[in-house]
Parts: sequence; structure tokens; C-alpha cells
Amino acid sequence: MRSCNIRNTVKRDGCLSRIALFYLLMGAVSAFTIIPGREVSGFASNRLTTKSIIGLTASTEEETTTAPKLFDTNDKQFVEGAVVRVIAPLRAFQVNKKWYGSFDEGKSFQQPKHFGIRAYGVNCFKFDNNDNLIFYGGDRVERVCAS
Amino acid sequence: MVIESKEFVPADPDGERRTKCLVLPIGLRGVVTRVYDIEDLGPQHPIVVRFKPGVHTDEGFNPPTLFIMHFETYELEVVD
Repeated sequence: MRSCNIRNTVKRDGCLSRIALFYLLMGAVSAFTIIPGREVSGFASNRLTTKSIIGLTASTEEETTTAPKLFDTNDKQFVEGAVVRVIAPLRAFQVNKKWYGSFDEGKSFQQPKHFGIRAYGVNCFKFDNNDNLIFYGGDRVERVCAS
Repeated sequence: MVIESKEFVPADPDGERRTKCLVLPIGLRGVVTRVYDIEDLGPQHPIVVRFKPGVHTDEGFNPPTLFIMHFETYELEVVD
């Protein structure tokens, strides 16, 4: 006997019957053969026509081309690769904790809390690690204390 | 007297919880890496920006670390 008896059903030994094999082949042929305007009914698919397939493709392209664009306050579009600058004071909490901090903008004079008391960090100049002046709170220009 | 060092100043580790973050100054620059479709996906912050130390420091602010962040449109402006 051959290795596969086509009269047997799938339940018996896993081979397909003749009728099942016929419908399987017809379905495969109809599924991969698309004639313009002809209705296609695949063996395991919904009823689709070539017109609807073309329509699906067109609608996908349309969605891609008509995706809403985003613009800034100056009507400039945000595109990938563009350089942008932050224009609102924000806080980033997703960074590593060793990067918690702020930038010393120092754009305005910082009045000391206890003016007149010559104490550390209050009425003196302050310097950062690069020996740059951060701010001063006194009226005398001298380096009198560390940051 | 106006001093603009714009150096990164680490936060006090013993400070309040609200201070435990990286405060982004106005003028910090980065590069847009992705713009999400607001109708298809509906993201609240559709613009993804990558900040990298040592680049785009025109305004003096140098990010202390490499990080990305999502933004709304009114929080950013495109630099020429």
C-alpha cells in the first residue's frame, strides 16, 4: 500500500480525502488568481473583490499621506531630526537620580537671605567646581568662602 | 551683576521629593527623534526629543546625561 490512502479521512490517518483535496486546490487557485472585477471567494476567507482590495490599499496610502502634522508656535513643523529648544519650564523625572538637579541660570541677582551677616554661603561669592563665579550676595568683591 | 554660568547643579540628595528631578531650563536644545500620529495613536505628548551632552549647546545649557523625553507642541519650538 502507498504511504497515503486518499480515501481515508483526516481523522483516521491525517491524509486528505479526494473531495477535500479538490476543494483545497480550488480554493488556493481562486485565492491567488485575481481577475479584475471578478468576485473572489477563497476557501477560508471572506468575500473580497479586487475593487475592495484596491480600495483597502488606497485608503492605507491616504491615511499615511494625510497624517496630521505638528507645528510649534511659530508654525514650523516638527520633523524627525530637527533641532528644538525647550520653551517651557519642565521637570524630567525619568533620569538617573545622580542627574537630579537644575541649571544655574543666574540671570538675576540673588539677594542673600540674611544680608549683613558675614557667614558661609550667605554674604559672599560662590564658585563652582570649575572656579566659575556662581553668584555673590555681599557688597565686597573678594573670595571669602568656598561654595 | 548678572552671571550666566548655566552649569549643572546637582540636587540636594536630602531635599524634598519635588526637587528630585532634572529641571529643564528654557533654551535647552535637543533633536526630535520621533513624532507620533496624534489621531492614530492619540499620545498626550507626541514629540520625542533626545538630549545628548556636548551637542547643541548654543545657548549654554549642556545636558548632564543622555536622555529622551516626550513633549507637547507648546513646550518646544523648532530652531532654524
